[in-house]
Order: sequence, then structure tokens, then C-alpha cells
Amino acid sequence: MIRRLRILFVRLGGGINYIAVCQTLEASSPAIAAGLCVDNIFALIYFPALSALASGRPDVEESGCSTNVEEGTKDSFDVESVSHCLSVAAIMISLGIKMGGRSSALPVATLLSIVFATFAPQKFIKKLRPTSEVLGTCLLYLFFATAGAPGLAIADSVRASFIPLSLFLLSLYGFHTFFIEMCRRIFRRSFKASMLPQRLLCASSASIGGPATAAALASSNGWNSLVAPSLLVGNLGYAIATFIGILFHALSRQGLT
Amino acid sequence: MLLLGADIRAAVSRCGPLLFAFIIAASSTLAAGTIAIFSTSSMLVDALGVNDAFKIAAALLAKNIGTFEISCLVPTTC
Repeated sequence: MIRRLRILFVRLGGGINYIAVCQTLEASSPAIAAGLCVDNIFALIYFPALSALASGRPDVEESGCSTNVEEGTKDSFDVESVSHCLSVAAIMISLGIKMGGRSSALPVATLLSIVFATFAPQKFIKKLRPTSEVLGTCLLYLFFATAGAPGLAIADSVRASFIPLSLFLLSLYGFHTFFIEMCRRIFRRSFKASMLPQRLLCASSASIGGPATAAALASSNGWNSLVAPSLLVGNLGYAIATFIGILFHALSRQGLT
Repeated sequence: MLLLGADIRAAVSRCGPLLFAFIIAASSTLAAGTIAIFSTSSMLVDALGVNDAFKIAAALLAKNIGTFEISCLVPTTC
């Protein structure tokens, strides 16, 4: 079971918002692992289903977006960019701890990172992006591997919470799809371009998955005009999700206990 | 480090109609999460305890607005 869990964790490439919310709210390790494990199962069903819905649809025309994906940044993984990335990350975390204390360090660091990514000189930030993605993903792998460390406690936790978490996620994924379909029907005349199935499928993939999965969906279906926008809206998800999660916890806990 | 890609100005200015579609998708997740927590909270509390149940639900909601990503799906062209 533990081996299976570790395999599942290694297959996760993102989850930054999940970890940020868990760390901020100080959730226990077995619960974090159980949530990840069950969600991974649902995501592995959801993405092929999304892909099946997408197949055979043509590219949308006149996207109004650039199809270039961060040109000229592919070869910038060097000692200088690694040093800069580590320095920026250390500064953000340090400021996060100083300004937010231990419990709010991650949301504050998240906010500072978004401000930095948005307003820092693009020449500097573009060079850092490929490096930051590789280093950030490696460190997330390391975190997920250590999340498997509690051993049998995780196996017990997953067993005990598998059905409740499955029902929660079944509702989450099911109603997510249902509401998107409802919105498509309601807004298809007033927001015709946004409500095209191709864009909604990419948007859903960017939300449930992330920038890379949404770009992969667009790319694998030949929707070249949607590749770069998918990456961008996926990154927007990175930026807002942690704060929504923390707010959701406060409101749901208050409303239901 | 992953957040260094989160340029909000670029997302708003270059995404066009996909931005509204993403807002719909993220709002749908939020609405779905609200229904899900209302319908399964008692079972989650029994299984995970009152503290962890709401924390994990919130984290799963955040994950399904923000990121999951399976690295093997990333195309080489991106």
C-alpha cells in the first residue's frame, strides 16, 4: 500500500495549492496523504474523460491570443538562473515568515511571489521561469515522497476515509462539470466565444489540472491557438486558489460546526 | 518557485475569451465544493475528525481551482 501511495505521489507534478492550504491550516500528515491519494484516483478518471470529450473538435479561430509560449526561455537553465531562483525563493519565504508568522507564512509568500512575478522586469523573470519550474517541481516531488513517511498510519487513514473522501470528490467533480454545462447553456449566446466547448474544456482542465494539463489537452487536439492562453489561465489558478481554499475552510467550518 | 510563472497581467491581457471560461470553471468548482461539503461533512468528520475534515476539503477545493498536473502529460512543445 505504501509503495502504491509513493507511486501516486511521484506522479503528482503540482499540488502547490493543496500543500499551501494544508500547511497553513496545519492538517495532519495522514489526512494530507489520504486526500491526495483519493483525489489522484478521481483525477486519473477525469482527465481521460475530458480528453474523450475534446477529441475530434477543431481549433477555435480568432483566439486573439498569442500562440508563442515564452519564446527564448528554453535554454536559460544555468548556474546563474538557479542561484537567482534560490535567492528569490529564500527572500519570499523569509519575508513570508517575518510578515505572516509561521501559520500565515505560505499565503504571504504566495502573495509576494505573485506580485513579484507580475511586476518584476519581464526580462529578468522570463529567464527564471524554466528554472523555477524545474526546481519547484523537484522540491514538490521531495515533499510528496516525505508525505509517505508516516507508513502504516497513512494506510489506515486512507482506508478509513476512502468512502467519505470519494463521495466528497464525486460531488466536487460532478457538480463542477454540471455547473460548467449549465453556464454554457445560459451564456452561449451572450458570451459565444468563451462558451465554445474547446475553451470550456481547456478551462476545466486548467482548473482541475493546471497549466500543463490544459496546454497538453489543447496541444494534443491541435488547438494551437489555446496552448499559450491555457498556460496563462492555469497560472492564474496557482495565484488565487490558496486564498480561496483558506476562505472556504473558514466559512465552511463556521457554517457547519 | 512555481509561482514565478503566475503573471496576472499576462493572464488578463493575453487570454481573451479563455479567461472568462476559466472564471466559469473556477466558480463551478467553488459552487461544487460548497454542495459537496454540505452533503458529506458529517461523513468526513467521522472519518478524519472535525479538524482535518474541513482542512482537507478546503485543500482539495484549492487544488481543483489551482493545480494538480500530471507531469507525464506535459507535451514537449510546451
